[in-house]
Amino acid sequence: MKHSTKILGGLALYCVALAPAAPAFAQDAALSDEDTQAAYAMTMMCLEATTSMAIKAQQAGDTAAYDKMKNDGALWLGVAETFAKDLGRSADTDFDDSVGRILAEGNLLGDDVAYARQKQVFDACSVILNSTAE
Amino acid sequence: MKMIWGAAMAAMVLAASPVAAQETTDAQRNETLKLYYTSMSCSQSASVASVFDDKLDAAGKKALEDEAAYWLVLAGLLGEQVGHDANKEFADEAQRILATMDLLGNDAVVDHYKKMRAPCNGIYVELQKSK
Repeated sequence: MKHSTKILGGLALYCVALAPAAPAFAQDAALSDEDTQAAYAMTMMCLEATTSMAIKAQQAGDTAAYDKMKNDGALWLGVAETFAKDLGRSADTDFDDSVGRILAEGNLLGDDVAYARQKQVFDACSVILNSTAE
Repeated sequence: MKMIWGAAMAAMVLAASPVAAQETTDAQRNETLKLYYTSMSCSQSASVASVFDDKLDAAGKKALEDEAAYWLVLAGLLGEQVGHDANKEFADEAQRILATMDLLGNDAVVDHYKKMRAPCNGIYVELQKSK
């Protein structure tokens, strides 16, 4: 099973978790530890890419784009927290590292190259978000 | 630029000794964190290249593995100063790299880390000289 399929399953679980009427389904569809770790990794990576887009939008003074990225970022963080809880971790704490990584990659590769890569990831993550919303 | 990074990292390695441990200021902490993340990125770039570059011969693979290990040890020393567990975070990052490969394909990810080889290797060479 591809990780992108797993994350869709995880996102579906997250949505179900918000609806108190369907706890049985959520239980039946619970991910294995390995799948949860993979889904968590992908969620954090999507959060990192979204953060990178938010930083860029803020630098460009594009308030509308920044607000949209902030909302998307909050969504990814919320999903990440549900996985993190299962893994005994804190997505919030892990997220602190993301900004450090973004800056380090910018230093090594140049900001434009680092941004282009994060944009690729962000676009792929947006496809997942949109599929889940449908 | 590479030489400045190399010198800064060499200074940080020396300062990472427990004997030389001292209370760091916020500015020092930020600088150490910056170097920590750089070391982690460089370790990952060398690891990804050593595993996924099928054009490498045995000597090239070994050189990359050695470089990846060097960066990770350096990250470990820097991480100790700022409350980061380099080995644990390296494992987390490996998961993210695999997840990115699922999303973008192996080639895109390998190519991304390949781009880091030049700056990382430049710093690595400087660090070896400063030993």
